[in-house]
Amino acid sequence: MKDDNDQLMRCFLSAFPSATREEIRSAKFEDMTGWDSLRGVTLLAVLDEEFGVQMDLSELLELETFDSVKQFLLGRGLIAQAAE
Amino acid sequence: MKLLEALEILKQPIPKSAPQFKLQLACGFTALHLQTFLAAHLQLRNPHRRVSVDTGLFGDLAGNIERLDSSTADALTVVIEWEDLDPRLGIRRLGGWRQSMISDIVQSAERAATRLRQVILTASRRVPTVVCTPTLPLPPLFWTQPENSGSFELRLHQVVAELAVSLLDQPNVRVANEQRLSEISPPGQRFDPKAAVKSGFPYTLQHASALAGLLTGLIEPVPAKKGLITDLDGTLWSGIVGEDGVQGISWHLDDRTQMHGLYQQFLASLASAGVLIGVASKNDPGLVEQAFGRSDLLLAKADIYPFEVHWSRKSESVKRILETWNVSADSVVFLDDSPMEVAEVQGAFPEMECLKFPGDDYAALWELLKHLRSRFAKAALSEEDELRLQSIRNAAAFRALEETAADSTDDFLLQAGGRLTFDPGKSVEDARAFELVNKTNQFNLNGKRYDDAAWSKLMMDSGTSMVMVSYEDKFGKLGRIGVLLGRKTGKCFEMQSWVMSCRAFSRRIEFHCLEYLFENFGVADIALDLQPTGRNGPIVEFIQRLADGPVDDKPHISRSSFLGKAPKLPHQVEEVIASEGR
Repeated sequence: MKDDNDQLMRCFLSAFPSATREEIRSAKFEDMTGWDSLRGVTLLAVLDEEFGVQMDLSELLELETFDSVKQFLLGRGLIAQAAE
Repeated sequence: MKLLEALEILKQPIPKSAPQFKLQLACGFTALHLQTFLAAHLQLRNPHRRVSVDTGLFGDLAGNIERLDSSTADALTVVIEWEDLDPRLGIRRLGGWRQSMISDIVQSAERAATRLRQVILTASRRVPTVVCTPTLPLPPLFWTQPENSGSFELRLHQVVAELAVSLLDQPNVRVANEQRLSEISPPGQRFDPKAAVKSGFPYTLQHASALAGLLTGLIEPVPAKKGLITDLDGTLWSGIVGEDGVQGISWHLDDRTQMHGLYQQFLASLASAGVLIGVASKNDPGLVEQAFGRSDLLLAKADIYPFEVHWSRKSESVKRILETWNVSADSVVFLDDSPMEVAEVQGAFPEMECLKFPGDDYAALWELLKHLRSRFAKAALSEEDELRLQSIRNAAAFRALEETAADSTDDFLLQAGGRLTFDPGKSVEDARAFELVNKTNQFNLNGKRYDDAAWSKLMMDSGTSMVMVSYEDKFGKLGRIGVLLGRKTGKCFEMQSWVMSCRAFSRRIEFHCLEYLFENFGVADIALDLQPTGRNGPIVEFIQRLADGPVDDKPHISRSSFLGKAPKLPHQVEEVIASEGR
């Protein structure tokens, strides 16, 4: 289990190399710079490798945002809530 | 390497002015993460260039190879999977697995392999090519038990093996080794059926990463080591010859010392492939001489040169061996059973790979032999590999006689009966020139190295001339020892690379080379792209002796200056074009 959200941000930044942290935090996946289905598949593969979570592209798109993915992983105990 | 690491490597900024390396990846599936891993491995290999990996259309492997733009690609990698031979061997197409269809699947695979062979051979004539035969399991379509190899299944494997063997006829092709791949990527952990169906990418991430690493090693091989220096007692044989006697040392199964026999057999194999083998042993030279008289030794005395057998420090022996071979410490491996000796040599030569011979541990010996094989691995063997050891012995004999000869240098060289051959035929298939340019340090115009792709382009450039220089004399054959590379512009020959093996020094061959250019290219001036490298002192001094003016900025040697300053040229000269016979 990862102990903070930085790893999740690393995954997003790697899958979307043109996007900024701010854009990742605020935008829907499909609105992000450089989004296409291959980027989505890359993000899914990185999330699987780093957190052991297996999703389909359609499930990912239903989550829509970085924050939703974070809540999804928190809910399954795959990441811990970062200390404020 | 994890996918996240690969993606982060590719995010690192690279200056826009950095040279580019463009790999064309041809596969029938969605390249996806294999493309990412390949780019990352290649980028890591050389971080100062910009790597791009381009792919083609899904499901059209042969077409992707045919559409290759060889004018921009530096290398081609072809990854074949079973479904490229017949789509029914994959799981994305539902063409049927009825037993009545299997014969047709095999025939279809044979036809596809024939077409692939043609397109790969055509492409490989234009660009260096790496081929990977199917890495994934065949689908469960055969009626035989999984434990039982059926004839159709074996025939499919045979089709692939025949394809691979036929491709190796082309020197520009390398084929990935399935045995090595199995070590780093177990066959049962390679296939991801979910990803294959949903995204068209059939590999697990671990397999994609392992395969990309292996392919990178084939696209850009690490230069092979040149020599191995071995200890004797407790290493080449079991026992101490000074205490146990010549008949008391052993390396056979009966004496439970077989691992030393395996090591001898391995060294003999390396020696036969042109690897230099030297001995550094604290021992009685007379006893060692007797030990090498034993007929059951698997490594012949003739395979070894030189022997450093005395009671001085091992590092001194190693230093002398390096001088005799004229190679740098980083291109040599040292082996000894004594940790103290290994540490002493390592301390004196930090850049040398110094390894401990693993006592009675057979598993460790097996790993050591595999490790050494990879360190000394070459894509192909050449005539020079066979000549190397003899030529070093001849060079030593030449130097010894030169130092003691009463005659003048002119007379001595004349009596050596040297014969020089200049071959102006270029051939991308001849690996010797490529090897010489990329490994020579001392007599090297500028230290410029070429990768496979850049070399292929040079060989195909009609404006570039290359001359291969060979030499032999009464002391023996040195083989192909020099390369001249450049282009004629008007009355000037612009030399961009010039290398000569250090074994050929002190014979005035370099003067003959310039004379050849003046006479056979009809030029009045030679411009040299000289760049001091810190290691090419011999060629810098040579050019200083002949150049018109200072040598710090692209020196020139005019014909008149050459004729006025060159000494008497002693050798017979002949021009042949060997590539016409190839």
